[in-house]
Amino acid sequence: MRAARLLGLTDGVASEDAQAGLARGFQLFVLLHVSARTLLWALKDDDHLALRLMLPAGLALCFLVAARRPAWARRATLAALLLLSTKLFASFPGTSNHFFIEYCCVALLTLCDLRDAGERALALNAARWLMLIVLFWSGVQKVLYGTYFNAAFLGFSVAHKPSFAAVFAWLLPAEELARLQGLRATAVGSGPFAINAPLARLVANGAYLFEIVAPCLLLWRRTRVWAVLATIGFLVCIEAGARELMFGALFVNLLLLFLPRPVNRVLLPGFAAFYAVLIATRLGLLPKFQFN
Amino acid sequence: MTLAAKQRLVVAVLAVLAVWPIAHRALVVHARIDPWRFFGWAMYCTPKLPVTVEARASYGRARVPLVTGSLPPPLQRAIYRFSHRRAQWGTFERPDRLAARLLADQRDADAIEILVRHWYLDAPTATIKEARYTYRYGRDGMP
Repeated sequence: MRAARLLGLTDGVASEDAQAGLARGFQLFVLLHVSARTLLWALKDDDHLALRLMLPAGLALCFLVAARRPAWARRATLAALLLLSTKLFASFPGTSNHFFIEYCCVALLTLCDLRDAGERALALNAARWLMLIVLFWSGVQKVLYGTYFNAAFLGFSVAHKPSFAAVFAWLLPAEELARLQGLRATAVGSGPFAINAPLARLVANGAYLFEIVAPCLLLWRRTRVWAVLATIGFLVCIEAGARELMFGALFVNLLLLFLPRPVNRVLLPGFAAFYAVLIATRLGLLPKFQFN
Repeated sequence: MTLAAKQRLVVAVLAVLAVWPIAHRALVVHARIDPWRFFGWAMYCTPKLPVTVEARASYGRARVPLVTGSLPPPLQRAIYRFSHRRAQWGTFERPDRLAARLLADQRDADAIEILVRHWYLDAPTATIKEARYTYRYGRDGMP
């Protein structure tokens, strides 16, 4: 009972129908997401390409089965979990944290039968909690590492990543931007990468504060919808520099689970189109740009 | 499996995930594991910086640096593999096997010394610093 009450803290004000819509939208999104991301991963290298492409092909089949035959959706997620387990086995210890979130989501959707109201609520609440844990710890870790107080990590990123420099060009005086872009971590003693511009420091310190506070606002029902919108805005700003677009899409979908209506289901075709653009970019059919 | 059992399982897993970052941070500090890996949610907290590996052979009192590029290709690959794994596993990945291979290659050497440098962004000074670890292996196989 205590476990149920704890999990229920993230329960939405959604009706049964809306819950069913949210869960179904999430199920389809997760299978679509792992298919697209695994395809992008497979296309990164040329070695054993045919073998590597079998994994996203299998995952895409799982997505199609789940989409066309809702009664078989849970079996499809089980198959996807087994396929992803091979990737986990092959990639560990280099496994990305992003993959771990995907893996947990697929495992949840396999554990819970979404046709049952109780299990559906369990799956949705667990996915919401997973998102809260990740967001909260992302903020706390930034505090523990101490590299955001003086914006040293962001300064380092400006120095080494053009996408960060493009974003911070809006926040930094031209001289400081030029100084940071002239720095390289080529030897011990390189730096200093700290940013002195007050606006950039405000952004750096605001980032971890937001990540720590937002989970509390997402838990509190009165602030939940606004917190969802604010966190999506926050993510868009982060991804402008970090370009972790696949992670951003997954995280936005986890956030959408906090809404009282199944907006995620409405947006699913939009995410499918977004992934199609990313895949076309990776294949060279559209102008290339750096993203993960 | 009943709903209650599934709830308990899910709460247990979430509880582990909720406290794991504390252990992860301790492992980064004390063992220098990769902060971007192992599900500690410390991505974008500190940059990914290289782990460099240098080897020296001892001949009596003389210490001769072993230039990686001039070593046989299998040894070069072994050094690269060690440095890659060391960046992930930190001090849990010891250069014991690498040292044994270097000792086998440098037949006249009394000992092999392996210097591992972990670069990191030092938060207070905002500059790049390094943590150095030296491992010495004699012919008796003892570090």
